[in-house]
Amino acid sequence: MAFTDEELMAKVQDGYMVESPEEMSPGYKKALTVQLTVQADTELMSAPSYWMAARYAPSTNTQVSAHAIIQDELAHANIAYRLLEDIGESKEKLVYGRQPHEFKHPYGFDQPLDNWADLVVANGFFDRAGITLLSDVYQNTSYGPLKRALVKVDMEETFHLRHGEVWMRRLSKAGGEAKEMLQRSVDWMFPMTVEWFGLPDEMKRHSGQLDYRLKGLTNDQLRQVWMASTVPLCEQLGLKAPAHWDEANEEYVLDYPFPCEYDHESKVWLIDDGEISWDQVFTRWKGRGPMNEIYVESVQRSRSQVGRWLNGATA
Amino acid sequence: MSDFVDVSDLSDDTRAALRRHIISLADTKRFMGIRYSDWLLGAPTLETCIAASSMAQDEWGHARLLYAMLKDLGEDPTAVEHDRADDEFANVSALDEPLPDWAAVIAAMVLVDGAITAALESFAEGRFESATSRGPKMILEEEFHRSLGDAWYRRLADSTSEEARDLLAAATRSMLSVTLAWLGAADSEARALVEAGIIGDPKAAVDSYRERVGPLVALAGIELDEVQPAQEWDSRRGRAPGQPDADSCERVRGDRNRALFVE
Amino acid sequence: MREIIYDVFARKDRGDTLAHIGYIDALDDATAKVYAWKTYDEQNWFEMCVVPRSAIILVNRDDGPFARGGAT
Repeated sequence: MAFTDEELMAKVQDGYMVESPEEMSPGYKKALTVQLTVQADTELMSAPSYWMAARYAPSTNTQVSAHAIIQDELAHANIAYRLLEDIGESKEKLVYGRQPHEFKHPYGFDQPLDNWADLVVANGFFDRAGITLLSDVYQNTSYGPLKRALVKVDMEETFHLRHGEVWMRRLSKAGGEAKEMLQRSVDWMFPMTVEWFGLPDEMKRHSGQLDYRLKGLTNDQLRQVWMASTVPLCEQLGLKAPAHWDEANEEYVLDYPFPCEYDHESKVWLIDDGEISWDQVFTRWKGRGPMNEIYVESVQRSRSQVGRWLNGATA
Repeated sequence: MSDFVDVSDLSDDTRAALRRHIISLADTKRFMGIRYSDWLLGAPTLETCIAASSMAQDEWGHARLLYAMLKDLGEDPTAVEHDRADDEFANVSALDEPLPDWAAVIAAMVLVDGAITAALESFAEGRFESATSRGPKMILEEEFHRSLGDAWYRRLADSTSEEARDLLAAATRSMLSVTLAWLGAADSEARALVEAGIIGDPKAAVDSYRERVGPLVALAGIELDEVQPAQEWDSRRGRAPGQPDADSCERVRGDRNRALFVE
Repeated sequence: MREIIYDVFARKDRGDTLAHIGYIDALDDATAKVYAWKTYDEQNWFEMCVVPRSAIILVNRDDGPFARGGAT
């Protein structure tokens, strides 16, 4: 009972829920595979990124809460890889068989988180981006198994976000060095998250994700949703965020050239160098960030050895 | 029950012994958690990564409960948790260094985590009220660590890979000699605790531990009777001489983010 | 590494319906139990169980993930 792309597009726009790979048209399957791969890789690569900072968290309690978050991210990744496996991909190959540059997570998860402030802002910003994207998927997706899986994900990502907010509030209230470190984290991570939402709508290439009802909102709409909660949060905490509400157009507007270049060594956005093209952004993304290989290797390190042990081959 | 010890009635020596015991258990849990955390990314499947992360949290939750028992002795645990020098940590020495491979992680899950549980059982059945009230829940949570460790231990012991079996046997031998000495310690501090009824006879704890791990380690070709408990002992801390690696001590104290310690 | 796919079922409280909540891959039943409990810890479940997907017998359909029992 396979459909053509056009038939399935019409059906899902009419509320049809797809339940099995046998019903998918080639275009649908391809768009869903891309979406799930990005989702799975993003969850997976957040784990090493968070762990590098979590291990040096200031206390036992903070190490516990940070590890709880990492555990959730790994579970979410695992769930998304299972969904991929159920539509014909191989989890083994996706997690353990790819080179670092082949993963499809955002550039932000190729960066080092250097301290506890970076980690809680990652919870406040990156996880908020995650929940912004996934809530939209949850509300709109035409793929039944994904919608069901996102119930757990949504619940847990909300917890991460609250963790980020609570700690940002605490560090801000502490003032002094704590607040300065917090502001430094905001300075590099705010534009990083804004960029994560991708190409502006007027330049967006056609991906089919909206046509197949795999998501509901456009990149720019999602970026606005994220800013609508992030900018007021920063203002509330006395933190400078480079965006403001524009009354006339009723939208958030960035106070810096977008997109612009990023110097990963100093963790600084080169705002003074002005706006760059999206081709330049894609080139930077494609080159991956400084932690890409370390993060991927940290996840893959024991698999082949233990796999050998259990597969009966003599080492 | 009125059968609990009144801490203020204990002699100075017994109080000091109780303090040493609490810290040794708490530190061992704290470092066990560090060793699980070390593997939460590199474990062989995502499911085992998730389990490692969860077990690290369990250990740290238990460590906090144990450190908090110092309050019964009139001591604020904050300094113990955050300000001790590397050579003051009292964890069982098998956890001093990162575990080098998955076979060592599994051996530690069975032998070291198992030894802490055996020690906790003895503590929870004694006359120190906090241990009797908090111990059982910790012991219950350890059930999952035990089933996971046992299942993987059997797999690796059964492996046709000589490398897997050799690594498992080597890790088992070296950990066993340390855990047997730690669990069976009968120095004057341990004897004082036994006399006060705070812990049971260390021999009994060792016996129950041997009964539990004996059949497993036999699968790796190890006869328990052949393993000698390590001889070297530091009675100040209640563990073998030596200290954990510097990076792990930093993590345990939270040194790098001290400026952000604003709980 | 040869693993088995298990589907995870749970109910939140007494009186609730047992629902499919997810899946895990494991070497065997013993590890499957631990992985399921540790992975799906978002609720304090009244009851949880795991079923090897290969044990699920389809009644009225022959497509979808359950049709691929144990195809790991």
